[in-house]
Amino acid sequence: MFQNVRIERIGEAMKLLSRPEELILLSIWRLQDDAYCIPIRSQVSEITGEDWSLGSVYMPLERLTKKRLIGSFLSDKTPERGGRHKRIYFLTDDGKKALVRIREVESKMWDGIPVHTLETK
Amino acid sequence: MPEQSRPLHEPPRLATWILGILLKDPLHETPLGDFEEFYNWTADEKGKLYASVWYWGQVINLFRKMILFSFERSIEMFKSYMKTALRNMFRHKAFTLINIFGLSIGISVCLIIFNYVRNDFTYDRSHENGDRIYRLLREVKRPNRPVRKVSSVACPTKELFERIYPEVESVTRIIEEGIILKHENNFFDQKMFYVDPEFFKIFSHDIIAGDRENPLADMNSVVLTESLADKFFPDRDPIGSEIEIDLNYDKLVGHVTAVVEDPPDRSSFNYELFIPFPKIREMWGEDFYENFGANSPEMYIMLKEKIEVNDLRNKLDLAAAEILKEYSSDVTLDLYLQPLTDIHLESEIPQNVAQTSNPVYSYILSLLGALLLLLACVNYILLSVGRSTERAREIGVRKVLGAFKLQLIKQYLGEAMLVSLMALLLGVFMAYMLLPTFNELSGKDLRLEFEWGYLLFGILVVLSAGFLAGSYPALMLSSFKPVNALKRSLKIGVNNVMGKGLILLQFSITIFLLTTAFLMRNQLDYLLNRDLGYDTSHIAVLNLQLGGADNSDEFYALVKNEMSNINNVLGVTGQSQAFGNNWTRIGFRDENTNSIVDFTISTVDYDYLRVMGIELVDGRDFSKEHGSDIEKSIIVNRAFADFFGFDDPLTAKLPVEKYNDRNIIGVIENYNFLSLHNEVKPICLQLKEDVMVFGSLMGWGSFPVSFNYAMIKLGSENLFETVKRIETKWKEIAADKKFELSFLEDDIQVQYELEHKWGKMINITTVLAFLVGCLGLLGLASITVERRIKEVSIRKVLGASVLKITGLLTADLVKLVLISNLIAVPLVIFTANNWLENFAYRTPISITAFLLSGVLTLVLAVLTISFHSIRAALSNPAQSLRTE
Repeated sequence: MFQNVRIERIGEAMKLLSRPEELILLSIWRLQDDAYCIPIRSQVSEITGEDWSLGSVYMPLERLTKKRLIGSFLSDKTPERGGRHKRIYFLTDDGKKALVRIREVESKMWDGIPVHTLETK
Repeated sequence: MPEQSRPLHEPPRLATWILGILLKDPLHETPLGDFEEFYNWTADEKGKLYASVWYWGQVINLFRKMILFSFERSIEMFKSYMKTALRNMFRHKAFTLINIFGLSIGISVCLIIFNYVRNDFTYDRSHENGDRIYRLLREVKRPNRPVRKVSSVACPTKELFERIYPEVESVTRIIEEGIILKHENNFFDQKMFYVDPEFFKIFSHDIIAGDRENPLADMNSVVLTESLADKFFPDRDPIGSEIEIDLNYDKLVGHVTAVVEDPPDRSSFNYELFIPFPKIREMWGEDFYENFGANSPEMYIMLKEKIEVNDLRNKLDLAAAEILKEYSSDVTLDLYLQPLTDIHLESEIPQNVAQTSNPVYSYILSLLGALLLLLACVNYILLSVGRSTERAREIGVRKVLGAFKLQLIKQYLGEAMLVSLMALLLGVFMAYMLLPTFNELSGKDLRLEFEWGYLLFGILVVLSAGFLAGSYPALMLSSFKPVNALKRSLKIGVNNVMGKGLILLQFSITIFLLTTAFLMRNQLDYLLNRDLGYDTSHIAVLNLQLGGADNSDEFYALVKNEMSNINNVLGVTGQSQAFGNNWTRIGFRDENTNSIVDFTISTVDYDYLRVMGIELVDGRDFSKEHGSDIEKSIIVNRAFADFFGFDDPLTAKLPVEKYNDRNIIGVIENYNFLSLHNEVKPICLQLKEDVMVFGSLMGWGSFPVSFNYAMIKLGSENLFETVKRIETKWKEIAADKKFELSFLEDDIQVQYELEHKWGKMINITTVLAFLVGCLGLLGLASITVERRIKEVSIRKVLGASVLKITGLLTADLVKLVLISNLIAVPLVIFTANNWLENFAYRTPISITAFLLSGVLTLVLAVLTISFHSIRAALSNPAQSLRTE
């Protein structure tokens, strides 16, 4: 009984985010006003050092939207987009809470573990 | 990241276009933009080629994923649905059989009826120029006479049309006449067409041998059909051979100039041989040929190409005015053009050359087929709903696992479709088995061959039957609340309004069909057993006019003399018309009311009344002792006296010119010389024919011969031997005539052939409907009892008797049957009244028929349900209550 409740509470706070979702959520926060698909992709690709395809950014974006962690609006049209709108993403309050929570959990998990003990020679 | 200063790259247009279609949702505008921006960026970084390959890769990927996604998912679900459907069907074999069998009966009947209707609706479609061919119709309006459209026109109309209408390409007139061909001492009745040479240009009937261009150019030419040529000239070339045609009143010798293919299936023209139309002038006289007053042939007009028929229609008044010149001034005439393809289903215009059929029968049949299919569908609904509690668990589980309502609806509809597809397969097989019987009844030669039309119809039937049967269960089952469904606290079944309505519908249809069948039977029995006012038993009718030119009164006298001497012949008499045909009528202008009225006239021999057993109510019979009888005396029936309002018929004179010198010497009882569809009409009997029937449909050209038929009254013993002796004698005295003997009773029966046929068809449908209804009832009964088994057990434990329990279970159904009776009764009365209006003499709608069908359905319903309920009542209550 007790266990069940705890799992539910953690799940609720983290909205069961996957790693890519987590990264993209964070990336949106970092990019702020310029957070649309292309820059998100390049930023995530740059930081992780892996080539992310557009599709692998769309899916998490969609899921995050469904979980109401992020929202979006259409912005101006630009010529290099063939005169089409951009969809700019932003964090909702829940999204911000989720980021804080992730950070908290991460740091609690790391608490008291010196990083150098993990390094292998 | 692209910057504004860099040159812009445009991605491949085709790919953008395809992407635009795949992502046509307005919400997808941004991904399109993203793709394009990314393309620009890649082109800058890695070159245009790389970017284009990537861009195309996106298109293909998207495409592939869309297909795979929808396909894979649906295949998986389909597999799951199939599995549950088949498991369910196998688990409940009885219900599955009932459903499939019931539906397949419905489907097979529908297939056959579709075949019939399609056959009837696609006559005369094989002519190359069919869309340019029209039949001329005539509507003559005379004061105080009913207006009637007819297809017969006058011979000179052809020349008139060719002269005044440049739109007309060709015109042909057609007259059909029955003739006798003699071949190796056998006589054959054949149908001969008088046609203009243009006939073969207008209609696409292939000429197989002989003169293809103009086979009827010569006045003595004859064109035979292939089968007739094979019959008469089996071993030699028919072209150029002579053939002798016996017209009953005259003989013709012609030579064969061409052989034409047999009339195709679904042709309104059932020709067997042709001779040139102008021959009519020789045969029927100048008067008939040149006169606008004598109407007999049908006329077909082929318009020139690219001519609008309405242009010609607007100008038809011109021809009408020309024709009217020969009529009196108070007559108006309207002409109409009827498209060739409309002719076959024309039921208003009296049949002349083109064979027509009344589409009403197609409609009735379609209705019957639809009713049967509906019954089967109702069965399916009732049984599915009845078993719904059993399937509630499955629905609950599916819903809990996330099935949408729409998916469940699809599943149950699909199951119904599956059942109806199986029924289709069985139904096609059954249609094959039923078709010969149907052909016999309908008089058509229908075959079931693969055609796209059937496939389409089959799919349509499967879909509509599946939809009809499946939609209610699908909607009902899919709306279960999963919690209730899983808790098994669901109480859904036939106790709701819809279920009861369906049972009512089913019983009402069954009772309706049953009662109608009984009523038809009653009426037919009544017609066949009614006293007609004359003696019909053991009277042989000899047709004297089939072949041989000798039709004189002397020939009749010879026949009468010879036949009277045969042993067991009680009397011989003659008459101008035969019972079962239409009789000659004389129309005249009634001076008092200035309207045209008519009465029937018939020529009979002296001993007609005695031989036919017609009762004389006043005056005397014809007698040879009164010399003036032969010219001046007539006998009339009571209807005749009433018709003219004679107080004392024996002293009255006929107010008809030409007939006012006749003396009425006797009055006879009304006798039904026509079929019982009609009231007894006024008739007058005379001894000697002197009326020339001008231009009547059938009678044209039959010369004034007194007796066309001899009626021979036979003793009741050794009928067969007597007939044999008559035949031998006939061959002695009339070697060149066909021997055609029928019994009067049979001739009279033939008048009701149509009713017989329809009676039989209704009977078969009723039996089938009854069968389907019973099947449904059987299934329903078992479900009802099963569902209430716990209640039954508890009642039994508390001391209810078997009888009481059975009664309890049966009562519901009995109530429904009784209500259905109430629903069906007005429907039956309405239909039966409509049908009975066709008869002048009809049985009252008897209560017995209603009682009989009501009791029959009731007994059946009670039998099926009590079978199950008695079993339930006898079962050990512990068995069913143990689990509680």
